[in-house]
Amino acid sequence: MPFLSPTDRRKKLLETPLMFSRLIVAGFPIDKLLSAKALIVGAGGLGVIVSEILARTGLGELHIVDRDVVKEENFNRLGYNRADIGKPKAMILAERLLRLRNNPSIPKKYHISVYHYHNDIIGWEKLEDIISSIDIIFSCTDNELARREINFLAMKYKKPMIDGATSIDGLRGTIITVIPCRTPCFECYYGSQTSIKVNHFERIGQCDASIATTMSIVAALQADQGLKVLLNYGKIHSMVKVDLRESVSIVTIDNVKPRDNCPIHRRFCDEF
Amino acid sequence: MSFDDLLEELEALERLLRVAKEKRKSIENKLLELYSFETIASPVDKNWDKRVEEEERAFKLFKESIYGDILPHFLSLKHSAQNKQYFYVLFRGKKVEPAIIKLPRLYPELPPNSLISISKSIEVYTSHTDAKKCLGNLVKGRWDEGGKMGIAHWLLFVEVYLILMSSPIKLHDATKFYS
Repeated sequence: MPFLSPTDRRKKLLETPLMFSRLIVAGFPIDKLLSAKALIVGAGGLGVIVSEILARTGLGELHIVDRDVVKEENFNRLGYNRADIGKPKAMILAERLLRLRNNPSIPKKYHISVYHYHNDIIGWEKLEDIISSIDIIFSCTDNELARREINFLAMKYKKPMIDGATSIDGLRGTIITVIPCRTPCFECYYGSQTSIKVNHFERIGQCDASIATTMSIVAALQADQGLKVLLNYGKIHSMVKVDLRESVSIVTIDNVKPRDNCPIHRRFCDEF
Repeated sequence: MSFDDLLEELEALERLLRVAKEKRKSIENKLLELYSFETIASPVDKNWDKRVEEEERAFKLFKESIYGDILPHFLSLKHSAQNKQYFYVLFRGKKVEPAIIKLPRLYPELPPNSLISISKSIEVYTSHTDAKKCLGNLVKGRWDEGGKMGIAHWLLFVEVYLILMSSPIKLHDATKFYS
C-alpha cells in the first residue's frame, strides 16, 4: 500500500493545509491525489456526492458534465438548494467545489481545477478529448444509453470507469468497476447480446424512486473504488450490490471474466 | 396454497408471458415489414456512409408508404456533415422548425438518443428521468437490437408519443395499452 509512513505523516502534517490534515493522519498520499484528474458524468444524486468526496479528499482536477438544470424534484437528494433552481447542475456543483478548495488561505498547490459542461454527452465531440486526458471516469448518469456511450470511450482510451446505479424502487444499488481489458465492461454485463437486461430507468409518464440513503451509500462506494484504483491499494471489486429493502446488505462480486462475445472487448482489447 | 395450485398459477403466468412476448414480437415484425435495414453499421464503423444513405432512403419510404405519410410531423431528414452522430430533421409542430437527432456510438444496436427542436417545442429522449420527455417503454423491447431498425422507425415511436401527449388520458394510463 503506497500510504505514508508514520515519520512521513508527521513531516507532511506540518506542511499540509488543515483541510487535509486528517487525510495525512490516515496516511493518504495527498500529492498523488493532487495530480489526479477525474471525469464525473452526471451531477445528480450520485455525481454530487462522488464529486464532493473526491474534492474533499484532494483530487487535483475534476471535469463535471450534466445535461440538466436543478429542479424541485431534486431536493430529496443531497446537493442542491432552492436558490439553484433553473441553473445548470454541473455549474452549481463546480462553483461550490471551487469555493471549498480554492480559498485564499490555502496554498495554490492545493487548489483544485474544476471544469463544468452543461451538455448531453451523446455526440458531444469534446468528450473524447476529455476522456483521453483524465485518469478515471465516474459514471453517475441515470440512463443506459449514456452508460454504454461512456463505457465505449472508457474502453477505447483504456481508462478505468466506476459506474453507479440505483434501482427503480430506490432501495437497491449496483457499483461496477471497469478496468479496461482486465475486468468485464458495462457491455459485458448489460449489452444487447446478454440475457440480463438492465432496466431502462425511466418509463413514459412515470418517474422512478430515488432515495438519498441508497444514493449516498452507492456514491460513497463508487468514490471508495475510485480512490483504490487511483492510489493502487486494497481490493477492486468487479461489482458491488447494495440492498436496503429488508435489512442492510452489501455484497461484493469478484473473479468475473469479460464476456467472450463482448463486442467492445473484441474491438478494443488485443487478446480478444 | 397447495403445490397443484401453485403449479397452476405458474402455468397461467407462463401463458400470459407467452402472449405478451408474441404480441410484442408481432409489433416488431410489422415495423420491420415497413422497412428492414440491410447495412448494419454504427457511426464509428467504416461503412457508416452507406448506412447514412439508407437512413435517408428509409425516411422517404416512410413518407410515401402504402399507408400514406406515416411521419406527418417530420418533413425531411438529413445527416450532418460535421458530426457523424447527428442528423437533422424538419419538425412540423405549431410551426415548422429544424430539430437535431443524436445517435449513440452503439447505434443502431441502441436506438437514437434524443430529438430536440431549436425552440425546444419538441424535446424527447429514449431515456430520461423527466417522464414527460421520455419515450421509455414505447421503445423498450420493440427496438431491434440487430440493427434492422433505423431513425425512421424511431420517429414512428415519437409520433405515438406525440399522440399520447395530446391525449386527455394521463400518460402512464395510456401507455398501459401500448406496453
